[in-house]
Amino acid sequence: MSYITVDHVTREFKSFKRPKGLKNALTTLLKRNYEVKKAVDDLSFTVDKGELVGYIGPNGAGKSTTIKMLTGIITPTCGTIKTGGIIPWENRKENARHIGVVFGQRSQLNWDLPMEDTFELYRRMYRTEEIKFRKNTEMFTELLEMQPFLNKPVRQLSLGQKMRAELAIALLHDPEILYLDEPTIGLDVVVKDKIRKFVRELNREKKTTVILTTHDMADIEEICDRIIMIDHGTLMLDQSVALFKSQGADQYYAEVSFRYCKEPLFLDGVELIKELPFCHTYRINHRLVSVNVLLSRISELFEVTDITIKKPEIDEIVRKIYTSQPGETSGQLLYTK
Amino acid sequence: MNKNRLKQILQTGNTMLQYLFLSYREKFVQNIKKAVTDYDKMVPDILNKGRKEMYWVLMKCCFRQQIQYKWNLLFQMIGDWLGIYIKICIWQAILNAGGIKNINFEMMVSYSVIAAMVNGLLYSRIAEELADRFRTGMIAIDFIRPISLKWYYFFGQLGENLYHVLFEGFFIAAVSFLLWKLSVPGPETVLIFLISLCFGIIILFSIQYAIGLLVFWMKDGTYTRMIADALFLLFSGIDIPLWFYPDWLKSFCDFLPFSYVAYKPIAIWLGMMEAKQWQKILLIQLFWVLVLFIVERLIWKRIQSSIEIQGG
Ligand SMILES: Nc1ncnc2c1ncn2[C@@H]1O[C@H](COP(=O)(O)OP(=O)(O)O)[C@@H](O)[C@H]1O
Ligand SMILES: [Mg+2]
Repeated sequence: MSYITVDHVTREFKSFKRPKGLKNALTTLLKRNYEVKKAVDDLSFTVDKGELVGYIGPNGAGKSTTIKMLTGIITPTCGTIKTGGIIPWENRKENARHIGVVFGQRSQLNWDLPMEDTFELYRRMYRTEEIKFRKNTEMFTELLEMQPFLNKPVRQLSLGQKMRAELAIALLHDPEILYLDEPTIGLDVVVKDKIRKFVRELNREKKTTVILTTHDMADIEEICDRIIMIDHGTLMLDQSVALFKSQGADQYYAEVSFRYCKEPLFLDGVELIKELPFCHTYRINHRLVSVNVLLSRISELFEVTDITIKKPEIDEIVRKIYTSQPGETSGQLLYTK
Repeated sequence: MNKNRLKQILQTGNTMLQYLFLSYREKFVQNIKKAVTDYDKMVPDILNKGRKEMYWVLMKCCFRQQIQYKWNLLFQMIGDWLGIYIKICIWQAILNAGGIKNINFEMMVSYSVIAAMVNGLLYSRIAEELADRFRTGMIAIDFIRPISLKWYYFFGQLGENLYHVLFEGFFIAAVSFLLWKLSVPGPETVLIFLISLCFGIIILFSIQYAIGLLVFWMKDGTYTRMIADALFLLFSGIDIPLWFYPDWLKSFCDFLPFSYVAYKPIAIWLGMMEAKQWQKILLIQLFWVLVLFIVERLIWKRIQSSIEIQGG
C-alpha cells in the first residue's frame, strides 16, 4: 500500500470573465459568466514512504494546486487523495499534525517575534514532547547554522536566514511528509546548498517522505530520487532521476581550449555552440560521431591546451522537453507524451 | 374574481414554500447534527491541557509582540484619555441641560471609563485579518497548522487586547477613578460583570469571525465588515449608553446581539441589574454564543468545498 495516493484528481477554478464594453459589464452584474479552468486534470500517482520526489512542470502547470490538495488546504473537484491513510481535507487538523510544509513564497513565521518564541509556540501547537523538541531544535540549529540569529526578530533576518528558519519550523514536530513548494526561490548558492544537504540528511535520518517543487534542477539533482512532471494539470512523466538523465545521454559536450586553430571543427553530428577566443564548445551527438574520430580531428585542427567532456544536466533535458514542440509557446509542454 | 386570484397565488406560494421546506429540511437537519457533533469535538479541544498551554503561549507571544511598539502605546493612551475626557464633558453638558431619570453624573463617568476598557478588550481585527490573509493567500499558512482557525484568531487577538488593557486601560481607569472619585462595586457584581464580559467578547469575536468567513464566498468583505462595524457602533452602547435611546429603539436593541456585548455587561457593573435581570442577560448571551456557533459552522460547511487559495 502506497503512502500517498492521488487517484484521478481534478481541480477546477472558476474565474470571472471580465467583459469588454460597458453594456456587457452591466449585464454581467445580473448574470455572471464564469470561465472554468482545470488547474489539475485527472492526475494520478503514488508515492511510497521515504521517497524523495521532485515535482516539476512549467509555471502554471498545477504544482502548487496539487500541493494544496495534498496538504488539505483545498478540496479537489473530483477524485480522491489519501496521505498516510487520511483524506487530508476531511481531517485537516489530524493531517496537519503529520505533515510539514514550506511555501517558498509565503512565510509562516511571526514577523515580530524571534525564532525562539516561535519555536515555543509551535511546540505547543503540535504538542511535541519536550525531549524530542529539544533534540530537534539542537539538530536543526546546528545543521542549518541558525545560532547567530535565533533571538533576533524575524523581520531583521535575511531571506536565506528566513528560509532556513521556515524549514526548521516545518520540521520541529517530526512530520512524516514534508512538502516543499519552491523552497529555494531567490536564495544564493551557499544557502541553497545548505538546504539541499539538510533535506537529504533529514531523509536519511528520519525517513521523511519529501515532495519538492522547484524550477532549479540542481535541487532535483541533489535531493530527489524520482521525478514527476506535469503540465496543464496532467501527468507528463514519472520516472527515476537516473532514468530521466539517461534520456540526454545521446549527446555530450566538449569544451576545447587551444593556443592555435587552423579552422573550426566541422563534422556531421558536431555543432559549435559557443565560440570564445581560444575556447570552443561543441555539442556532439554520439550516435553520429565516435569519440576516436572526434579526438583525431581535434588534434589535427587545434593546438590543444585543455579539453573537457560534459554530460548534459537535468536542467537541459527539462528545457528540451518543455520546448521541444515547434510552435508551442516556450515554457509550455507539448501535450503528447 | 380578485379574491380567487389572490387565493390561488397564496396557495401556489404555500406549495412552493412547503416544497422548499421539505427539500431543505433534510439537509438542514443534517447540517445542524454535524455542527453539534463538531461542537462536541471542539469543547474538549479547548479544555485539553496541551491546547490550553498553546493558547496561553500564543497569548504571551502576541502580548510580547505588542511590547515592541511602546510608542504606539503612549499615543494611544493620550488619544483614549482625550476621548474619555471629551465624552465626559458632553455628558456633563447634557445632564446640566436636563437630566435623565435615575442617571447621575457619576454613573455617566463610570460608564465612559468602563466602556473604554471594555472597548479595548473587544477590539478585533479578526474579520479584517481573515479578509486580508485570504486576499494575499496567506490563509494557506493557517490551514496547514493543527489548530482551529477560530480559536487561534480569538486568543491571538485576546493576547493583544489584554496587553493594551493592562498597560493602558488600567492606568487610565486608575487615574479616572481617583480623579472623579468613582466607586467600585462589590466583588460579586465584579465577578458577574467579568463573566458577562467574557460572553460578550466571545459573541463579538464570533460575529467578526463569521463575517470574516464570508470573504471566502464573496471574495471581498469590505462592505459586510463596514455594515457590521456600524451596527456594533450604533446598537452596542459602546459610545452612547442605550439609556439615551427611546424605548422602541431600546427594545429593538434587545433583539440584536450587540447590546449584549457592551451595554449589558457595563450596566451590570453599574449595579443597574437585579439578580433576575442579570441571570436573564447571561442566559441570552449563552443563547447568542450557541446561535453564532451554529451559524459559523453552517457557513463553514458551505464554503469549505469552494475555498480557493489565491497565488502560487
Ligand atoms: N485561486 C485560483 N483561482 C483561479 N485560478 C487559479 C487559482 N489558483 C490557481 N489557478 C490556476 O491554476 C493553474 C495552476 O496554478 P498553480 O498550481 O499555482 O501552478 P504552478 O505549477 O505554477 O504552481 C494556473 O493556470 C492558475 O492560473
Ligand atoms: Mg507554484
